[in-house]
Amino acid sequence: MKVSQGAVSRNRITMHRAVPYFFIAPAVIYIFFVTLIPAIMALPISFTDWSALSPKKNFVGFDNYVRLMGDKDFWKSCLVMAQFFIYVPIVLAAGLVTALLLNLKIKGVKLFRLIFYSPVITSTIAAAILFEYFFQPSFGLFNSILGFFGLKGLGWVENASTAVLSVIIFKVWKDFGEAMLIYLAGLQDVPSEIKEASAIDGASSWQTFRYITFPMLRPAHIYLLMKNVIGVFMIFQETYMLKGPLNSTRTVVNYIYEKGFQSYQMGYASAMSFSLFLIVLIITMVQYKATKLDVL
Amino acid sequence: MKKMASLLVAAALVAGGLSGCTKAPAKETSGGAVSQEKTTDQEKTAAEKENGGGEKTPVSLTYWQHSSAARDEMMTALVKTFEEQNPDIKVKLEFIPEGDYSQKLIPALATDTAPDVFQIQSGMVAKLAQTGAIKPLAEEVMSADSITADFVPAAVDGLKYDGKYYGMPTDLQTIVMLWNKKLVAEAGLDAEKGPQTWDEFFDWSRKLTKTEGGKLVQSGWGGKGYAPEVLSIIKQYGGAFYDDAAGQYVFADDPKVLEAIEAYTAPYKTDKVYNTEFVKNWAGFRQGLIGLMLGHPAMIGNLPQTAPDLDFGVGLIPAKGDSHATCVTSWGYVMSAKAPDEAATRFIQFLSSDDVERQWTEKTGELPARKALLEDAGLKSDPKVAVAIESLNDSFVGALQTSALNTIWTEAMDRILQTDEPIETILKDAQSKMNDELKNPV
Amino acid sequence: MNREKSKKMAVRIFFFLLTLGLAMIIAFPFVWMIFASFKESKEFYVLKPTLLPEKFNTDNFRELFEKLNIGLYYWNSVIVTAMQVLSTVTIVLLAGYGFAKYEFKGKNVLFLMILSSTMIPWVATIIPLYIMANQLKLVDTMAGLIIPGMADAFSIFLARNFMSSIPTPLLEAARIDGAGELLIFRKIVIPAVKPLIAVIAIQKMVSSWNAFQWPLLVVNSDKLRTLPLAIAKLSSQYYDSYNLKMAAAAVAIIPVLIIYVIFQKYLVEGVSLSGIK
Repeated sequence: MKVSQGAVSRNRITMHRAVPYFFIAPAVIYIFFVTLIPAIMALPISFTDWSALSPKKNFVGFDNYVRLMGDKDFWKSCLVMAQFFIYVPIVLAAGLVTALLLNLKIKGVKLFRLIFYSPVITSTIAAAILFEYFFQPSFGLFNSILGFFGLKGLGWVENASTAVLSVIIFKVWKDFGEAMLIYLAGLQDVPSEIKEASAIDGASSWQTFRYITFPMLRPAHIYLLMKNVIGVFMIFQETYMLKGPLNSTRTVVNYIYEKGFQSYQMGYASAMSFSLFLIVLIITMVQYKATKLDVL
Repeated sequence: MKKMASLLVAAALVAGGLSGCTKAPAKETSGGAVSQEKTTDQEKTAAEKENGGGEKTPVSLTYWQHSSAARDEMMTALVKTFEEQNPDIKVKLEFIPEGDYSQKLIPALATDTAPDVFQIQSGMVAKLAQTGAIKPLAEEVMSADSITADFVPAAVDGLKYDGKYYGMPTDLQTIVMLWNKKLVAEAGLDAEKGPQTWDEFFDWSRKLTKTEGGKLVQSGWGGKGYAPEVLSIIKQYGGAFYDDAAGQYVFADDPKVLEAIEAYTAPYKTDKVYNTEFVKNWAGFRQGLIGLMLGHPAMIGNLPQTAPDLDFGVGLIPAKGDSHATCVTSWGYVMSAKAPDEAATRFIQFLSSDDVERQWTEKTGELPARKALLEDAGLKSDPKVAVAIESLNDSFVGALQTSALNTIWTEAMDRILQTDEPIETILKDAQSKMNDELKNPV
Repeated sequence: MNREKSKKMAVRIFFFLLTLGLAMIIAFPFVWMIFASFKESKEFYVLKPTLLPEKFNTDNFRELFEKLNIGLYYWNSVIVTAMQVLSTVTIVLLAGYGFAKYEFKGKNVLFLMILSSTMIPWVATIIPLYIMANQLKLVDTMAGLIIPGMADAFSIFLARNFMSSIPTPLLEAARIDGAGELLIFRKIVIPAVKPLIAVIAIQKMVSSWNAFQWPLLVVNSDKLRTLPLAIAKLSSQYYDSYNLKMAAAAVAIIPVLIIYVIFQKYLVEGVSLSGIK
């Protein structure tokens, strides 16, 4: 029962080559079937005039893509969506600050962690109903608070110029807990010995944060940045429920939804979807390069 | 802009290239073919079932409706009755959340798996009939002549396509006027009668408005351009909204339409009787902050539930001259192309029968569509409901009966009320968008 | 010394009060929802709604469980969520580790494919997905409900990012000791990334529990209905049962809350990566 040295190592090498694929196979298969195939099926639809009201469709070449370039409403929805990018730094900052707070040894910190995360687990439908109350211009909570401080009330969702701001407030409240969670997990990787050591060296807590904690949270920063930037491109739900007047909150995906599910122009909706996809893809790749991730 | 455009061209090219090398398009068409074959199979089996004697293998029908507690409960009971009367048919009920109904229905239509009988906004009938997704009611069960004879024209005309009836109405609504009796009495007006003409109505709306320090504290009329209201006043002014012969919207070209819309919007724009930032209109009416409302008769049943302390009066929509003409909106029961004709039509017939319509009106506040019920003493014993039923006497089919058309309309009205752009421009925009919307679906 | 101590004390109290203040603001809508679930329907239509209900009545909950059969929907949601969380954690950890710690051909392309799957609007892909489900006879089945949510592309990205900080020498050492790859994964990697596991599980739990678009399409019959679908059914054309919606949302939160509390322990007290350096 002697195994030659050569055989073992050869065996190990072949093992090695297959091993990574074994690890990623389930994920790749899943993505392939659940997203990729539907996407590949949707792509040809964008070259048809399909209404989705029956299986019949006609090929129309690039008509949908040409139409899109002259569609003012589409470009307007792009502008609306662009305003939501302010949300990204706000939500990251809110998540980081709260994570730092909740990483301190404060009394009742466990309960606080639960409370700070509670907006994320609250049903979006129920939360939107409540915020509609709070935003109500004449009698709502927010304007009462502004009035208490002697400030003039806003029209919030009912006014085209403040509607996006209102949705951003809602979205930050609803989602900052997720950034907090990621940062909290990230903070567990910052060894307390390093922080203590730097404290002994006389570094102020700001310096410790600036030069040690913040850089060590890099995986968290990159993930959150990427996810939230893509998330802004895909905003739908919040602007569907808190709708401002004059299409002031109609984002690209809202517009695609209108065309696909209300106007029954699924071909055109698909064309818009793939155009959006390409834009997001390019921006993400740029982001990727900019953040100097090793992959790509 | 230029960069963006070239980017998109690039995107389109890449996408085109991709679709060229994948096998997906081929797959797609073969998939379509498969499901079409399936349809004919199903049709065959359905036909076999029908021919092969009902008693042994009952035909089974699937039915979808958008849901509400009252409606679901009633439908369940009705189906029980129907199955007792028709032992050869079994009905499977599926209730869909109201807000997401079309999102649920479209994928089913796209894959030819729609239920046998379902509800649809009446404006969808033409679109679905064009695509062949639905088919006309079986003539031997419900003849076109009998439908024309028995039903209020405005209730069924919208369900006709190419001379054939494709469905029966449900959730039939007109526009009536509601007023807060307390506020009206406070303003020294007749709280029992209500305004009769538009001039009177607009006058009341000004008298019922109160401001404090330049801010609205009570609104005279919470109108913000809801389509059926505006369509009604346009009709009364003699405006042409939609040209049946040409199959096009023509409202932006008719000065009478402009006149009607200017009259409708003047209280909001000039007299400042209401402001969307004041309070949502129905919420405000419930709370006694708004004097007058136009709205669906469904509110007659809704208000006592949601605002038990509100004392309100109900009248016909105001008139221009003698005509209290009101726009009618409705949904329709239709059957999908693959449904067994005869059984499905029998079910639809049952749902629009005299007895069932009476129950709908009594329990859910929907208006009856059968002429015979318009004079039904039992139904008219409640004076408010009586007004609602009476409104059907002078009624016409609304021309904005799909959610896409409604969205365009709402957008236009928001622009008219909340911006200073000229009304003509806004109407032209809306008209061209609506005509685009009409382009034939596949 | 004493001054320093009191200074420290003051800092502590400051942070405590700050956190408390923030918590009150953040929790306010949540607390409102809980109280609102005891309100009567008409209280939702008043002009200036109050935080507290006129009187605490449990009718809403009784109606949900006795008349609206919400227990069944609850159970469906529990099954779907449990299956999806289990499979997601497994698939994501495996993939995250594969991408973080191995070099192999096609790595970049495959990773980009996974990431790019998050960039297509759901509006474009949901009907094709439905067409597939229909052809595979998965419409209106439990499997059809569960399968499309069995992993999460963003989580794979997260896992890869976090797992790349596992020290490679540690893994090499284990290899030299003759440990197989799966053993290394189970015995070294998994215990080292407990906070990550907690995050993935919590996130997936929240998204599965609230999933709406796909369940709406794929579920036809009442017996497969999940909780969010049941909540959506509470609004109708002219009438919104706000009271029942609030009660349902309040009841719906309980399991998520429990799971969060359990996982929170790992989130903060788990062996952190630094421990194995």
